[in-house]
Amino acid sequence: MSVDVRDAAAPQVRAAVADAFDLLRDAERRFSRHRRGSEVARLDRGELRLRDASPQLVEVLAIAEEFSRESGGVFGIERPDGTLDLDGVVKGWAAQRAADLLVRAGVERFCLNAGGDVVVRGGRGPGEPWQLAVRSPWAVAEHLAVVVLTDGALATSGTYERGSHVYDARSGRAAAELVSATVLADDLGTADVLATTVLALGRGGPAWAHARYGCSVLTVDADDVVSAVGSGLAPLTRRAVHVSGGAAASP
Amino acid sequence: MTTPWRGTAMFVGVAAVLGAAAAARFAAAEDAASPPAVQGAGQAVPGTSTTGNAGASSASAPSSPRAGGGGTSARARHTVVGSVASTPYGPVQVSVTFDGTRITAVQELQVPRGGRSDGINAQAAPVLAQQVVAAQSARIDGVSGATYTSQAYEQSVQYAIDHA
Repeated sequence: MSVDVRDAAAPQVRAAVADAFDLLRDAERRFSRHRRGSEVARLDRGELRLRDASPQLVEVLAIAEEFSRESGGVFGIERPDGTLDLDGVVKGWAAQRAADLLVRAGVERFCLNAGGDVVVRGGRGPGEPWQLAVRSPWAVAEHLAVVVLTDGALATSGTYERGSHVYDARSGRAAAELVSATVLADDLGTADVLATTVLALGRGGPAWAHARYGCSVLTVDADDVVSAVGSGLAPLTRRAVHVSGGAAASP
Repeated sequence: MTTPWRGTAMFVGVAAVLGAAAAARFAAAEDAASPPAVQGAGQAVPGTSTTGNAGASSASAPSSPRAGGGGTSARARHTVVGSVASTPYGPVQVSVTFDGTRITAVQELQVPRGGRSDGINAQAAPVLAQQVVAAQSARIDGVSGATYTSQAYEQSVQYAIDHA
């Protein structure tokens, strides 16, 4: 978790960054299913009633509900063992809220990276966009694509680091068609959820996400085929590449 | 502190998933006689401090940094030790050697060993080092879907650059 700020290090900028980290720590405490005392864990055990839940939890549950509906139930918040799991929503949502906080505080140029989910604002200098990369699923130090972005968000969900941890909520089966899904969107809350949903949807996911949300999607499937939908996510790879829609040209 | 403001501040925070990050800073080694100055990230870097403090143990961890050119040009060649970035597999820390303002080498001081990540790091670290030297910076501002290791690596490099 890091924030790269290109504004002058004025006291109000430092204070805003401190507040942003406080917000993220608060979200971690509140939503972690690994903390017994977290609000999510208490709700899951029935110790907390929904009507007593914090506005933050209610908001996250509403977002999860919306994406579940939009995806026809593929995106879900229950793990196969039945426990409540809001991880698919919380990271992007919290990081976007932290970014919004920085913007409200007047921070003009920053790149906030929450464990590989990135939200940027303002470019790294006047007329100079941020340069982001998408990690290759095949090699830790290789990049699948470079994304030039002034304002926006980039999130990736993949099976290459933590194994199959994304499930189709309808069937409970682990996602297997895609190895990696990256979504470029205006806000990180959307990008993060959609990356997970596209991974769960499999090969039909990118077209759905692009049509429904107007985002760009870059995927690698289990046969190592790289596909891009929409603009801004041009792959660098020499492997088989399929590009459709937008201006995402293959080099 | 002799470090000029370079217009870039890297704030390093703590995400519980990554564990607490500790950071140590060494003064460039042009004055080998004096003990290395160690500062916590919260003092050296504007912004939030991490929960970890610069441990005294960090100060002796790296092998002796390279001294610069026999005192003729104190800043000509110097090595700056990056922050210690935590990953679930273990700490990552590099040092960056500058010739003037040019990056000439990146040395890994700590990368996770053992277990599943060992094979990954064995090949990743030299490649990451080459990329940094070639680009003369951690040129990519952020990596989506990055592994813990490469993120931590870039973080440590960035810290060293910011404090060169």
